[in-house]
Amino acid sequence: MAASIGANISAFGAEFAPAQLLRNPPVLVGVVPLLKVQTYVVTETYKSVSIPASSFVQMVGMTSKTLAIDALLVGIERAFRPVLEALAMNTIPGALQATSFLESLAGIPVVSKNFIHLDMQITQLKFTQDNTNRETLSVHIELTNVPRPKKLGGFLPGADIALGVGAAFF
Amino acid sequence: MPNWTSRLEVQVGNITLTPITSFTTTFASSVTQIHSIEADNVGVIKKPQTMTFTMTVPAIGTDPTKENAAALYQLAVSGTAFDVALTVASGNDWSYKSLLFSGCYITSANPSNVTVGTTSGQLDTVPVATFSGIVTSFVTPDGKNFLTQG
Repeated sequence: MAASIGANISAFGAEFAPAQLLRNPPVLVGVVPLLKVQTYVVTETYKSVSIPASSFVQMVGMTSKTLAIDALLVGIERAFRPVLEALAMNTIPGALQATSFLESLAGIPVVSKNFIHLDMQITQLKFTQDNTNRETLSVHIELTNVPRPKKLGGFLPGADIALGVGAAFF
Repeated sequence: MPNWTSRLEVQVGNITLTPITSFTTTFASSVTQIHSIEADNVGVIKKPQTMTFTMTVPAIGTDPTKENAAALYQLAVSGTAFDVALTVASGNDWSYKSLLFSGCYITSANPSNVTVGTTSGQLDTVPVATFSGIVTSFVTPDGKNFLTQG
């Protein structure tokens, strides 16, 4: 048993070798790197509002943005479960910690190769352990975009777009 | 140097199964590859291990002291668990003395397949019974139990 755990740890380290990270860029949810993401769904909702007693329609911009991530935590990667839970807890005001200070300013950044989302907060975590996948947790993470107050909102969406445009060329 | 005068035999519940033409066991230890959204083959997931067997038994033999196709078919119909052992009947050329497959259940049976002889065009071949089943516990001579139940 000890030997197999040792093998898992060394395999885990190999996954974080620079060459391997270039080959398989992780999806970063805050500080948690998810290396085995199966699906990554971005849902953006746009709404337009009809102005009463006129023929005009007012575009109100993106109304909501949610993320749904399905990933596998295999072997020692299951140690990320409490970290994800901590990220989710930090969105409760009373549970704010020193580590969540940045998060209180910018939410949880979710960075993948194709998308960069700032100001995200976890709304649901679902961990599934089943009898067909040994030593594996499949995790379902739902996040929603929580825009920051105006004071910060001035530049953070810009950072989001700049990062997103830059990332498209990786 | 083996002189190949040895013989193995298959036992069902400590009774020699005869005649028997083939006995095949398969140990499946399946591992599935994981692909991420960015790359192929980023890891593996282990799946549950299973063991199955298939035996081909000519439907002849009326000796009540030997297991035969009819007795096996009875086990299949009643759905009872039984043990199968592969043991050395004579000689010492084998790398093992016995393999015990316990907690066996027959999952499908062809009690009596009859084929027409290719040369004579008549029913001159022995009806053959085929039994497939699962093994829930596998014990090697040194007492190691590979599957957990049993």
